[in-house]
Amino acid sequence: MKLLKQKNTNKNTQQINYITGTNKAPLIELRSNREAVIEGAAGIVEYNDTQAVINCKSFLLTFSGFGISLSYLSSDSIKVTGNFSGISFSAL
Amino acid sequence: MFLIQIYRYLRNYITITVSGGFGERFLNLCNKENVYLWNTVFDKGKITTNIFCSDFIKLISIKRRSGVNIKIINKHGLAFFIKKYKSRKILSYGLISGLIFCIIMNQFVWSVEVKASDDIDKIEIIETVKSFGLYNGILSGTFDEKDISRQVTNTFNGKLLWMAINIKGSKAVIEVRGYNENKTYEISNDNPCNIIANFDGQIISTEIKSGTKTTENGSAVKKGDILVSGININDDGTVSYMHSDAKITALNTAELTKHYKKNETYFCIDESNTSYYLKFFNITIPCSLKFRVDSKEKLTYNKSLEFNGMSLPVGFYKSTFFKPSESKKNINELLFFADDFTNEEYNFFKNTLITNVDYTINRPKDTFVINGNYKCVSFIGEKSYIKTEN
Repeated sequence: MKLLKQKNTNKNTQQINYITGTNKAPLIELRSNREAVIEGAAGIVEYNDTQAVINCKSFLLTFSGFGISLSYLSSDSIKVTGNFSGISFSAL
Repeated sequence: MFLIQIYRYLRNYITITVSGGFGERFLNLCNKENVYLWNTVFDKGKITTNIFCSDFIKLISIKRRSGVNIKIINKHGLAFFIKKYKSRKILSYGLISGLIFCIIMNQFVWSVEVKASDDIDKIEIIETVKSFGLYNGILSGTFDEKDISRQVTNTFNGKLLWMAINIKGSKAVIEVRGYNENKTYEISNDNPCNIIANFDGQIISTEIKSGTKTTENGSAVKKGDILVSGININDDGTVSYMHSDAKITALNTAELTKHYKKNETYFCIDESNTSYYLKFFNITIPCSLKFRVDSKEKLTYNKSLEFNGMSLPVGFYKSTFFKPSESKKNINELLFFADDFTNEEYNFFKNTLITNVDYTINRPKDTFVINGNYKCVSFIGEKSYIKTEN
């Protein structure tokens, strides 16, 4: 009985995550228009001092502005700094 | 952030520029190969970034796959620092010996500081503590602080309430509390209080800033009488409390008596002789021709160098030696007693106007007694908390 109950609850949480789409979605943290930390990004599509396009698996995240730099780049997170004039999302 | 910088410095890192090929692919491949990059900046078509030295080997395949050119701009880290100064052996020996010197010197007590009220003679405490084995230059741990403080407290025959010795690095801090310390509590300007007489006298003038006057000019008051009240009774019968502030002068009488023993040695300033010297750890370097050390030596002033509030075992010292002259002993003694009594008088009546004085000098056996009877005008009144009955 207990095993059956556990299986049911696991199924329910999986269903909720599937519906909301937040299961493995990247987490984006912004501080003013100067700093952004993206956790769970897949990679960098384009990078120069005025624009950084980051692949977030299900969409592309574009930071535009000036003096854009990557404070750190590791396997699970990217920190983008600079003066952002715009942030846009586009489908892959 | 500072810790991260230290971590990076210890792990050694290099600054590289990546040009040509596919810069983004280079970044993604680094990401995939778990190569940690930081401070990545795009400037004039080149990507400048930092990378740990241990990850540099992984860049060979990444470079080939992304088609970029990699150039090392700068090298940072402990290993590079050591390599840079490898040929300068004396510098490293100096650094190591300096470090060892600091560690060894830290094991000694290089300064003794006394924290006590003004009525306790700090030099006397230092001299007493020295006689029990705590002095500049002694190895910490070779003495028992508790034992020394107990012995010193016993030596002072009840003059000291308690004493504690705290060793802070190479500094011994002696905290002393005397029995005569009258702890006064400051009453802040917001707290309600009365002003009470702190001695017997006759009120001459009253200048009230706040509070209710309870005595008239010309009336006699006793110690403890309320002069200005902080309690105000309002028209509706309610009571409110306020902070009393006033300047009250009173006429009073005072007496000062001092006993001197005739055969005791008193140091006469006229017979002194001063010498200067530098002290470097336990080495004394005389700086004047008058330098001498004998049993009558009395240290009056010393100033050691201080760094960030910490006394260093290097400093400048001034010693004054007192030698009472045998031929002029009697005259000197009298002069000394008079001089000492005047000083005592000055300290006792600092904020007082003396209107009349009568001195009497008695010479009972082996003692010399000076007595002064004063009539003076002084400020009367001290702030006291309002006491209420529940």
